[in-house]
Amino acid sequence: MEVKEIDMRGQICPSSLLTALREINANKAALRSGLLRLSFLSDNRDSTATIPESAANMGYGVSVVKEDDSYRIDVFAQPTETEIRNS
Amino acid sequence: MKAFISKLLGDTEETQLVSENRFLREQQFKQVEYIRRKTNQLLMLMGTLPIRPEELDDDTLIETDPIGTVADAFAQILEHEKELNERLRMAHDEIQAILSSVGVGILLLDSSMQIQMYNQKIVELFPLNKDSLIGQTCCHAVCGTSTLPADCTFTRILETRRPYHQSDWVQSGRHFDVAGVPIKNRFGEVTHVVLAYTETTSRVETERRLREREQICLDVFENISDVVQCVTPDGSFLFVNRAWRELLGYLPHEISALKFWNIIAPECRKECMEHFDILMHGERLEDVRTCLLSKDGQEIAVAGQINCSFSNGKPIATFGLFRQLEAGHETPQAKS
Repeated sequence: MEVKEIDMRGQICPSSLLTALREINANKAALRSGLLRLSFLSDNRDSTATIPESAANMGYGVSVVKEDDSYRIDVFAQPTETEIRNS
Repeated sequence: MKAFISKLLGDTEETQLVSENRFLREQQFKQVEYIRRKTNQLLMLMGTLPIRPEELDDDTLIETDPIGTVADAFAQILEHEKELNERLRMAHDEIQAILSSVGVGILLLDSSMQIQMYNQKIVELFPLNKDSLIGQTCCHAVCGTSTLPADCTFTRILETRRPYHQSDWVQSGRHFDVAGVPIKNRFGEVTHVVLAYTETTSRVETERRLREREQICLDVFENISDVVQCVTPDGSFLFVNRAWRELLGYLPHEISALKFWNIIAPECRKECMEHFDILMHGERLEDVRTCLLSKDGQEIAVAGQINCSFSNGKPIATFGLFRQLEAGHETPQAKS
């Protein structure tokens, strides 16, 4: 799976959310098919709530990991119904 | 005159241009304000803050098209909601199919005891009106009363917030097993209760008839003059009758401490153990002769028959019916 990293450090919400949404919209097909994982780097704490909530509402899986001086917010395809049932 | 007209016309053009420019500026201002207002409205719906003017100036705002970005995001949200609704509908259908296929009546009640969902079986078990069932209280629909019964499973679950099983709930002369499970929210509060009813009337009735027949059999065996004993594979006595107790001199409460070899005369024990093994393999023994040992050590010659009952191929108990041999009859020892 390809991982695309987007460095948004320095941006605050809602600009960071708009940037994230723009990336998610632009890469919708690759994200949905599980070929791509978007990895947003942000040092804005609000973004760790707004981006995951919006991405989850759009049907994506999200993980947030605290790194040294920033947060890594990963957006990826959610497992399918069959995968959930088999897991 | 010409210059005057020209000046007049020029002034008019300048005035017109100024007026047009002002109009265009006002229009652009309105458009930018509209974009900001609509973008902020959408962003608020997304759960974030409005855009501050210092974050995005007017030119960047138009260039980055935030309305388009958020609108595309909303399109994905709606798409996801549609998929989610489809999955929920399928899950609902699956649950309905499961509820319909089970042989127990199921009710889903909310915390105020009102029926939210039910299956076909519950309508078959109780005389319920399907058309007005949703929203009725369980108390009214099933118990047929407006006051809570003392043994109400729902109330018990609401009080304890734990599953509860009532093994013999009687309603209008019918018996039911009622199992209830609470559904809790993330704060641990009971929001719903699932009640499952299994009618056990025929089982209870069968058990009652079996108990009656068992009692009749016990009375018959208790009162016959022959000695009767039931012995489990480990040698304990399951049942002995009055004739047995009188012949061997034991009181009823002493029987549980006895093993069957305790009441066999020492010289007959080896042969009896062999008989016991034969019985455990399913054979029936006719005309068995042996010597029993009474509580006071007296040997009593008896003859009779023994068989063994089995369940799923495993021996349950031997059943022996003996009569005391009169003096002059051959005992096993006399035979040998």
